[in-house]
Amino acid sequence: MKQNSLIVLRPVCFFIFLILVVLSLASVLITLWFNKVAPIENEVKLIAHNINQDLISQIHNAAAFFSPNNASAVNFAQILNFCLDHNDPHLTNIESKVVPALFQAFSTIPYLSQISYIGLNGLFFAYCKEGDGPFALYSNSTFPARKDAEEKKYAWYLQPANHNTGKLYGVPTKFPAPALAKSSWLRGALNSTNGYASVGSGWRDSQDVLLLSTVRLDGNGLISLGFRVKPLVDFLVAQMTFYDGSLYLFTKDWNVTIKGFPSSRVSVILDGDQVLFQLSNHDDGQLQTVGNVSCNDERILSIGGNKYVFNCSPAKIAGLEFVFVLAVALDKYSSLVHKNIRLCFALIVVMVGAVVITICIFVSLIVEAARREMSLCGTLIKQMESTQQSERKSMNKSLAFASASHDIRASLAGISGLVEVCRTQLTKRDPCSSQVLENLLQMESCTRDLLGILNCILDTSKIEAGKMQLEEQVFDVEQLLEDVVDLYHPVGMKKGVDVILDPCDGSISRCCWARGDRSKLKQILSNLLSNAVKFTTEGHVSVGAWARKPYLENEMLGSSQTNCCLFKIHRANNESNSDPNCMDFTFEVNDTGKGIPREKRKSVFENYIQVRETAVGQQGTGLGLGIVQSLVRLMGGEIGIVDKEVGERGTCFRFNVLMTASPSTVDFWEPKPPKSRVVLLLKSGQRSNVLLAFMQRLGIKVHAVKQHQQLGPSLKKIKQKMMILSNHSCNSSSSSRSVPLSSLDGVDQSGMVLMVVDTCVGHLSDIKREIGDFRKDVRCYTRVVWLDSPNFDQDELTPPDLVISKPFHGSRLYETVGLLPEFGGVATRREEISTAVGGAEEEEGKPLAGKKILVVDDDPVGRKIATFVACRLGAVAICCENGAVASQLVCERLKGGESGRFDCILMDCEMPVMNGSEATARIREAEGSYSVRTAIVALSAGDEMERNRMMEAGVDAYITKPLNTNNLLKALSPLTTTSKMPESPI
Amino acid sequence: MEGNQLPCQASYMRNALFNQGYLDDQFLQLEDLQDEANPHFVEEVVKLFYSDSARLIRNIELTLENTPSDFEKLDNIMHQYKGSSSSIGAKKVKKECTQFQEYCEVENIDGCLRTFQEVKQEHASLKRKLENYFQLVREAR
Repeated sequence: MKQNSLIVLRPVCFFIFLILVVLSLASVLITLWFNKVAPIENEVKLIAHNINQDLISQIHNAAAFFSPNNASAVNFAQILNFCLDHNDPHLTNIESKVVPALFQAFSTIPYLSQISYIGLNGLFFAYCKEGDGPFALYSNSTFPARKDAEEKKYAWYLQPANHNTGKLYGVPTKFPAPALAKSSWLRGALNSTNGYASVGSGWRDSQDVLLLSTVRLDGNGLISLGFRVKPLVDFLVAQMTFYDGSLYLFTKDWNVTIKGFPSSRVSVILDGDQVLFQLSNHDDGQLQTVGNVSCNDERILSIGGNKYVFNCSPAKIAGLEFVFVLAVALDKYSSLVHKNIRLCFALIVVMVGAVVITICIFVSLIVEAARREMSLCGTLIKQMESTQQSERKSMNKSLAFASASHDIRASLAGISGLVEVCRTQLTKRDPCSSQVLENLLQMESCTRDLLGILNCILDTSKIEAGKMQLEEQVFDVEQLLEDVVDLYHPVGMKKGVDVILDPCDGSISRCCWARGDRSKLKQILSNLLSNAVKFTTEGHVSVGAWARKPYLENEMLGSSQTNCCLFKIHRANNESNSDPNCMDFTFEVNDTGKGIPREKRKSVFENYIQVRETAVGQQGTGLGLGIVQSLVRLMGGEIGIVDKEVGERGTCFRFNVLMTASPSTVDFWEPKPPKSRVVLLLKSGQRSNVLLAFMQRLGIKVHAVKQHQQLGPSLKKIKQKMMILSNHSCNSSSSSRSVPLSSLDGVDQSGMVLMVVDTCVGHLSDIKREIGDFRKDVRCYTRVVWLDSPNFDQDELTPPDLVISKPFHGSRLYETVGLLPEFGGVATRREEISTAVGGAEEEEGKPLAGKKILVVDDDPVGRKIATFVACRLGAVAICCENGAVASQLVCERLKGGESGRFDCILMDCEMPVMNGSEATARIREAEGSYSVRTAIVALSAGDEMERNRMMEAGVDAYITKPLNTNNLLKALSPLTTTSKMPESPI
Repeated sequence: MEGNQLPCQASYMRNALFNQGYLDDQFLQLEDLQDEANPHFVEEVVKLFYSDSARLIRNIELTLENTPSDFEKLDNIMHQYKGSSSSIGAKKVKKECTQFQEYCEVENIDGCLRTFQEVKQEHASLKRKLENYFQLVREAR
């Protein structure tokens, strides 16, 4: 638990550290941020404070911009003075001199909207900018002398003027003349010498506020230049930013709000030197003075809840005195910035908080996971410990078991030995005491059973301890199968169960040999077969086998048993894949016994388990199939129970093993064009089915007769068919008429009829009669193979007929098939039929057939005899006269390859040039590099020293002279038997 | 009649050769090897033996004339001779040869000379008897 908490703590510590890092980083950043933000805020405050001053100075600047307007009026007046030359201006004078000058000035001076010449005598001329074109406003007449009478005569006219030239066109309209004499600005202008600036309205439109600069002429007149105020103010406002401020401009008698307060209730009034701010009440509209600002002063007033800074300042625009008031909201910008900074800070804090929370959640999750993993680890370790412990226990148990079994076996051997001794002594002394003898015999069989069980247990414990190893050797699989089946055939026959060897597709017989553990394979087969025979009371047990290339394995098994989940392919050994000769041998043991219930199938292969329902009354430890499975797996295969088709009884065990095999190059059992016919009359239906399939695959026409009563009819059928066939061939070729006699040799083109008859199938006399009838009628060569039974009288046999002992499969089957002319070549090869013994003699006479023997002897007589003896034994003999020649020859042959090498050397001891021992030594030396060992037999006159010398030199055998057939064979016999089975054929 | 008599004589003679100890079982072995394919095998072997042994005897005579006697060489040659004679089953000759080799072993030149005479005598008598025998056998066929 301590460890657990430690392991849990580790990430927690790490994440606490992480949080600390994040927090400290955040605090550092925030302080840094504050440090940076505070000066900015101050700056903003400062700037906001300065805004008023800036604005005021800007307004002053802008106002200064307009001062030349006044000057231009003065200058223009001087020019005009000069033109008029102090004369009293007359109408003509005015028309010729003043009007063009007026138009020039009107079109050149910027912002000018109205220019007028006002004669004191009443003459008047003005250009006004009105909409798109200029207009002229003039009066042609002077003031009337008599005021009241002529007043109505005096009139002004309005006429549009040309845009470019200023010439008048169109129809003049009458325009009421204003009372000029009364206007204050006119009087002011007349009084000042340097021009007079005032605010007034335009001639035509009294709403149009103009900034008038009026200058007195030397004569009796005035020049007035009118600038519109609105563009001026626009210009002022356009020059600067007000930051939501308000600007009010005042002259003495006129005021203008350039940018007012948002609230319309505020009214601003100039009162002497002070500017009053008044707020109208909501309810009754009564004005209430909020505060006043004097010139050149700064005040803070609160209007509508907001504080404003008010600045009042006088200014001179185009020569006119103005007072303006600027109101800017107090601290608006600094407070805004402050607010924003607050918001940012809050956001940052929230972000840091979120990060911390996320980390916390993360940590908790990780901790949870780590804790779970810890607990799992803990349980795993515990589990493993307990597993190891139990394995150790089991191993110890197995070892103890094995050693105990071993001891038991020793004692058992003692008991059985003693029982046998007792028995022999008893039979010698008192042969009559059958009771004791019987008991002893039973004891013996009991010990045998015990030994068998013990062997089973030993095998099991060996397998459990992993000590079972394959002992590979080269063997004939087909032979092995036949041996095993033959072994159990009598056992089966005793119970009435036929044990059949099914050749299947013949692929096993195509393999000449396989390299594997013969004894274990035999054990597997024996076990399965004994089980099958044990649990089958009627029917048959068939054993089949076939070989495949391993890569077909999956496909084959996959297709044949889709339902059998048990039968998994377990490829343990990888070396099999690399070996091109590796074959997958599949064996099948099929019985018609009680069968194994489907649900018990898996447990069948477990040790100590017997299926109770079926095993009643049967002895056994239940170890057999467990051992079998282990052995099969050891051999790189798998075993399982194959599903039988519905309605079929019994069990079918199938297993495969991987073995190195060499397929034979010659296929003896190739299908051949059908010629011969085979009639099968067997007791066992299954056997005849198997044989039928086998023969049909070979292309033989087979007629399986189920019962002996049917033999007659079916023979008749065959007879008819053959008649038709032979007639047909007779018609086609006339020469075949002479054939019948020669057909007795068995080389007839039309083949032969071979009848395989089981002697215990029924009444022999009937069968024989039927066959006799058949023979009489059919010209064809017929042969009968009788399957032996004890009471069959062999003496009655007609010459070509044979008797073959049961069981009829394997080699005996091949022999029988070999009797057919198509397979004639095979018949001589496997000539081991009990009646035909002639061929064997020849074989016996030449035990050294095909061997190459080198005879080394200086004595010509000895040499000749040795050569002759060797030749008589079937060997090829080569002679040479001394050891030097011999060793040279042997060396050459060794170099030349395997085909030329000697199988045996007969070496004399005493020879000139080089003696036998030296030659032997040299040959052995030369062989060393080829890793072969030729059998060398020393020939000696027989003294002990010589013999020892030769043995030291490395001879394998020793013959005392004189050499003859007997002693040569005796000397060679151990050598020939071992070399019969090649040690390493790969 | 004659056809029957000759084989009988030959057989009688052959038995006599065995009985008197001239030949041993090896000769029987040789006879066993003889078959239809090689009907004169035994005779051929015997002839080969005589031609070869004549050479060996001459060699021994030459060696015996030398003084001092080269016993080793004598022994070697006699070994060969003995091997040949044992190959055809000449029992008596072989016995004398063994005697000769024993004298050689102890370097008794007198004994050697004496036994050599015996060897030659046995050799000659066997040759004569076998010649007669083969003559008979040939006639018997």
